[in-house]
Amino acid sequence: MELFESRAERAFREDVRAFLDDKLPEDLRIKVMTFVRLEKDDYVRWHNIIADHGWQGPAWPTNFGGQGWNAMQRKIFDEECYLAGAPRTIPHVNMICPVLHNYGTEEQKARFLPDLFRLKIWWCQGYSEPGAGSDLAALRTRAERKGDVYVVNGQKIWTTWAHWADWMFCLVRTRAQGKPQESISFLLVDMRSPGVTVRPIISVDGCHDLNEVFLDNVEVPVENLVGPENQGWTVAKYLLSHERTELAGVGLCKRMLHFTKKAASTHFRDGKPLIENPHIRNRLIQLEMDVQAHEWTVLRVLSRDDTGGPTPAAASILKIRSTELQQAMSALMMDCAGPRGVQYVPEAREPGWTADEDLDLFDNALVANYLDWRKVTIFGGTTEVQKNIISKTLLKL
Amino acid sequence: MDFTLTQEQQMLDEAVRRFVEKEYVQSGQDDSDQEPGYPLSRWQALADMGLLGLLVPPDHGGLGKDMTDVFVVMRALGQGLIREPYIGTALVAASMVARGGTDDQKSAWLPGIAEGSLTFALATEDCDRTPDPSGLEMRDGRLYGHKSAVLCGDSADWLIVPVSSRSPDDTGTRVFCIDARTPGVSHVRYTNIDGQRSAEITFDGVPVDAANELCSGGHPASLLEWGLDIGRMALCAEAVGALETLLQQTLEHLATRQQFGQSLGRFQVLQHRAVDMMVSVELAHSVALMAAAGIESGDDDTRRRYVSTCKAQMGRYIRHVCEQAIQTFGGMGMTREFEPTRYVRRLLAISMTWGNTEFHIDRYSEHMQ
Repeated sequence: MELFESRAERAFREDVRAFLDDKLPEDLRIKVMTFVRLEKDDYVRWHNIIADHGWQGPAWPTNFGGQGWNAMQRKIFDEECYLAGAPRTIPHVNMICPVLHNYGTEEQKARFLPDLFRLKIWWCQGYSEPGAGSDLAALRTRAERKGDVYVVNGQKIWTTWAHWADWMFCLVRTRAQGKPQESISFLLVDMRSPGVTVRPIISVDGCHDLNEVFLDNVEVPVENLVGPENQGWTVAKYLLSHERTELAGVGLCKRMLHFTKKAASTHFRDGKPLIENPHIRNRLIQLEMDVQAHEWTVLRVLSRDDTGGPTPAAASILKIRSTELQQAMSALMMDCAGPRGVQYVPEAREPGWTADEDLDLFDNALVANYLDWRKVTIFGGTTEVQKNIISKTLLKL
Repeated sequence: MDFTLTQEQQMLDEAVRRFVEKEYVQSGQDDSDQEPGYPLSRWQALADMGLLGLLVPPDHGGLGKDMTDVFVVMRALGQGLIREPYIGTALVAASMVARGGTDDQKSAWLPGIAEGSLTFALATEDCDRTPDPSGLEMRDGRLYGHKSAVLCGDSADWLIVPVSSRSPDDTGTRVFCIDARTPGVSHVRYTNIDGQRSAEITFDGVPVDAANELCSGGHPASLLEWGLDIGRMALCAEAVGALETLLQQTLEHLATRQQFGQSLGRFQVLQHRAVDMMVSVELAHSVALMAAAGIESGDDDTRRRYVSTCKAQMGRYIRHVCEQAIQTFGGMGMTREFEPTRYVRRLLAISMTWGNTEFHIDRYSEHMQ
C-alpha cells in the first residue's frame, strides 16, 4: 500500500499547475469563478488551448489520439483544472470519441475524428425522449430505411447545447418490435438537415442549456449509421461506461467547497462572518469531511482502474456520492446568501452584461445555482437508477 | 498511490482472518466472564503470531510495521469482536514508548509487550459530569485524582496517565507510566455495552517514579496526542471490519428472509437501503485509510485533520449502518444474543471511544484550513 502521491504524480501535478498558470485566460477564469455562463466560443477556445499545449484528449487513450494518462493522472488534471477555475472539457466529445473509434466506419473516422477535441464540430446527445427518461429503451423516435437514407421521425428532449450543435448522435428505433437490444440503432444526424427543429427549454434558474429537438421526416444517409443496424443499444451502453467515469467529480466537489467557504466568509451576521457561526461552521466542516471521504473513495477506485474503466457499480457509487455532496454544498451556499439572496438578475450571468456596481455576480447566482444543481442527481442516470445497478450487480439482490 | 495489499500484507491479512475465524467466530461462546475479561490463551496466541509486536521495533523483539499494516490487522480483527487490550497495549503504548521512551524504558517494556507479558491501558479521559474535572495532579511527587472509562483499566499492568499542567509541582502536561499495583491506585470495574471492560480509577497519593516518565524534557502532550491518534485510527480500521461483517449479515438476511411470498431483497425500498449501507461501509474504509495516511505523513496538522475527519465520519457511518441493520432485521435486531447486534454494540462503543463525532468536529474546527 502506498498512501501518498508518488514523485512522478507530484511532478505531473506541478506540470498541470504550470500549464494552468501560464495558459488559462484570466477572463475565462473570472467567468467560471463568478458563475457567469460560458459561451460556445469560450469552450472552443479552452479546448484549443489544451490541444495547442499538446494535451489533446486528456481522458482518451493514446490509440484514440489522446494522452493515455492513467486514472490517477486524469484525476490530478481534472482536479487542478477545477481548482484553477478552468472551463470544463465538453463531455460529448469524450463520449463520441470512443464510440467512433470502436464502432465507426473508416469513412466516419476520417470525417469526424481529426481535431475532434478542437470542437470544430459541436456534438450533442439525442437520447432522452418525452416518454423515455430513466427507461431509455422505451424511446419511440423511428428511423425507416428508404433506399440510401433513413427517414427519421420523433422528438428528443433535455438535449444540452443542441442550439450550438452541428451534429447529434442519437438513438432511434429501426425495428417496430423486439427487445431494445434488437431494435435500436445509433445514428449521426446533421443538425442542419431539413426537418430538424430545435426549441429552447428555459431551466428553473432562468438559463438556456436544454432543448427539445424535433425530427420531422429528416433524411439521414445510411452511411451515418454507427455499428450494425439494431445494435445501437450495445453502442450506447459502451458510451455510457465512458460517461460515468468523469462523474466522480473530485475536482468539481473541491471547487464547490471553495465556493461554499467563500459564501460563508463573505456574508455576516451580528458582525461576524458566517464561517464563525457555530451552526454554519458545523455544516461546513461536515461537508469538508464528506468531500475528503469521497476523494479517498475515488482514489481507491482509481488505483484499481488502470486496466479500463471502473466497474459500473463502483462508478455508480461515486456518482451517487459526488452528486449528493454537490447538492448539499449548493444548499449551504444558498443558506449563506442572507436577505439579498432572493434578488436574482439572470441577465447578469450572460456574457456582455454591463456591470451593475451594486450587484455581486457570485452572490447573484447562489440561489439559481442551488436550483440548477438539482439536475445532477437526475442526469447521467438518476440516483435511483444507480442504486438499482449497484443492488443488482454488487449486492446481488 | 496504490491501495493494493503487498504480498506480505495479504499473508498477514489471511493469517489474522484465519485466527479470527477460529478464535472468535467458530467458538461462538461468550467468554467475557473469564478473567481478565478475555481468555489469556488468546492473548498469548496474539503474541505468538507476532501481532503484539506489530509496532514494536525489531531490535526490541517486534515487527516494526507501519499504519497500513495496522489497518490490515485491525480490519481483520474487527470481524471478530475482540475484547483484548490490543490497541492500548500493542499499538498505542508500544508506539509511545518506542518514540518517547528512554533506552531503559524501551528495554523494560517493549519486549514484554511483544511477548505478551505486559499490558497497558490509557488513563486519559476525565469524567465529564462536573464542569471542572480534577484530572490528575501531582503534589510532592505523588498523584491525586481520578480517571474515567479506562479501557481494560481493571486488568492492565501499566497505566499511561497525563498529569495536568495545573499541578503545583509542574508547568506543563507530563506523561507517566504507573504500575497499576502501586499502593494508592484503586479502581471500580464496569462492563461496557460491547462486553469489554473499563475502569474508573482513583489515584490517592500514588508515588511517582521519575524513571517512568515518558518523553521527559520533550513534548509529552504531543506524544500522547499522537499515540491517541494511532489508537483512533486503529479503532476505525477495526470498525471497517465490523461494518463489513454487519453489512454481510444484513445482505444474507435480505436474501433469505421470506415475507409476502418473496425474499425481502426483492423489495426495492430495501435494495436501496442496502445500497446506502454499502456506500457508508465503503466510505468508512476510505476514511480509515486516510487516517493511516495522516499518521504516516509525519505532519502534526495533517494528522489531526485526517484522524479527526476519520473518527467524526466513522461515527456517522456507524450510526447509519447500525440503525439500518437493526431496522432490516426487525424484531431479531432487538435481541441481545443475536450475532449482528453484538457487532452493533461493538461499533457503537468504537464510535464513543477517544472522542465521538462531535468531539472530532470540534477538534477539526481548530485545525480547519
